[in-house]
Amino acid sequence: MTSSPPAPARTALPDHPRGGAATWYDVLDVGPSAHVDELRTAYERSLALVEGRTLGGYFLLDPLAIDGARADIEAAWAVLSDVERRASYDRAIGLPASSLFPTPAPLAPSTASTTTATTAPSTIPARLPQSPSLKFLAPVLDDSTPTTPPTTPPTTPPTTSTLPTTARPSTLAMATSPPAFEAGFFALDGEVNGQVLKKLREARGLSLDELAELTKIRRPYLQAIEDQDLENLPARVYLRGFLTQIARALRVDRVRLAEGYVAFVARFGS
Amino acid sequence: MSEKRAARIIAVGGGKGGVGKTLVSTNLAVAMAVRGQRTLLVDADLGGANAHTILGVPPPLATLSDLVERKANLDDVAVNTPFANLRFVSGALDNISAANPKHSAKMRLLRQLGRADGVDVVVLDLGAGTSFNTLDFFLIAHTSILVVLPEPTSVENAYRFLKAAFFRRLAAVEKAYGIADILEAARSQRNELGVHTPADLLAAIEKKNPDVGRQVRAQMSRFEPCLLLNQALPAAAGGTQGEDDGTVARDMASACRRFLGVPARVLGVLPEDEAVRRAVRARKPLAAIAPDAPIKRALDGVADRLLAELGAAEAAA
Repeated sequence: MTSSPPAPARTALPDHPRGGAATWYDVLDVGPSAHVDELRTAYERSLALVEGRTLGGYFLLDPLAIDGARADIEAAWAVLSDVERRASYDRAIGLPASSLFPTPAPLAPSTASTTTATTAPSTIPARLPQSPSLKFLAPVLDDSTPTTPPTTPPTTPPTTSTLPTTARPSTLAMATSPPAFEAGFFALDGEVNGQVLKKLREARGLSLDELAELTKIRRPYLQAIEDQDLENLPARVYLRGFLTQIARALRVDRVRLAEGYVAFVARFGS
Repeated sequence: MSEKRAARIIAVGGGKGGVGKTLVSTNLAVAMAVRGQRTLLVDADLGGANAHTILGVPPPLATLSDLVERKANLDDVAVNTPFANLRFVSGALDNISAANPKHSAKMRLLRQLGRADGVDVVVLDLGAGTSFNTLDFFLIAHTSILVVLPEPTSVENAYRFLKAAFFRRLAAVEKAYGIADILEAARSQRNELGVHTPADLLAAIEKKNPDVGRQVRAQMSRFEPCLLLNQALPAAAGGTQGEDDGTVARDMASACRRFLGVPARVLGVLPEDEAVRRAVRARKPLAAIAPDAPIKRALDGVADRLLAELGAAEAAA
């Protein structure tokens, strides 16, 4: 296989929107003090709009232009949902520092990458709890800001804090993954639903397309899983397998994710 | 002193037929007249004029085409109506050749209308489609209103209309700015510049020549179409996807700003109202048939907002 997945969006974000909006806030049509929950709603609404899934966006863009608009929305979300990146962006566009966003606590040292040689290199740090609704989503390392957390070795190139991309498909092909791999996992407790999967994916800095590339699962299925779109979910016999693949790519407990989501769908669907 | 200044031109278009352009323009003109503005309602739907029917006046003998062809002057073609302050100019009706006047003739016509003595506001009722006629009238107005229904066909046509209007407006300045080659490349089938939206086009111009790009951008930022949603239902009465239909208008304006690079805004939301059918059948404006109907009150609100804006614009000028 010669083609590798695209570099994770977080390493190659444009510095401004392309589609006519002035700022990332404008892309999502939110104010500069928008809370992350508001951002998420705006993000989802925006995608639905440019993809023509809401009436107001019907044939807004021709198919070739949708990708460009989607890229703006994804980039806006990537910047604004990340506390450090957002703070740095706010400074860049001259917004006053916001008291809404506490300075992120120092990230815990990551042990995942040093415990084993059998896994692809990973320095994804353990995430710290930040808020009850976002327990998986403590601030993500932001390599583009000068305040690089001290846990990152100075010689580490910026991309290593994101998912390894080229090694991933072969890792996924393995029948089982080594137990040590679990060390880099997010904790996964509580209900597992589409929102949770989406947050996990975003915390890994992955777009749906990138996740599709990693898992070899077609994007519409991934979308349906995250949207809890019962009509378009893969058949149940495939669902569990897909969830396992997703769990591997996102490095969360496979059994908990698969069983949790299947149980959620069973409740949700009845 | 009001004799000296140019009248404000309000154009009402919509891309699609049957969305209520004539209903809106006629009743808006009546509302303006009631508010003391000396108003000229111009049926500029040159091929399918019927504002006279909505207004309840007989089709005038002299029409817009006579004005375009200089066979008559404004006072010959502007007929009085049952409403004080409101005069009416009919479209071309059956005169096929005049339904497609030259660009220069149209511009002259609009200058003439704008400078006419004793006219404060001109309301243009435009035809459907994206013909150059319609686009040019839409673009020359001080306020360009796009009437939209909460239906996929209407939304699709409205976007098509807006994009066509944007490119038409840009075409008018292409020679002045030396951007004809970029426009040509963007129009070509292969479109190697990757231009899919107005924003893409402005970016391509800016990339080639930042100075020209800034000027063109400033020029185009004055194209601020207003969306007016018609036949809107509240969420409880079967609005769109579980939401109030007004959401459609807000989504559209927001999408235009964010993803097309066109600074559109919402002018208002007109409720679905059976009074419309009664008024059309009676061949009278809403003010005469259903003065308290929800849609009449909504249109009054639109008229008040427009007058406030026109007043503010004048104060600034």
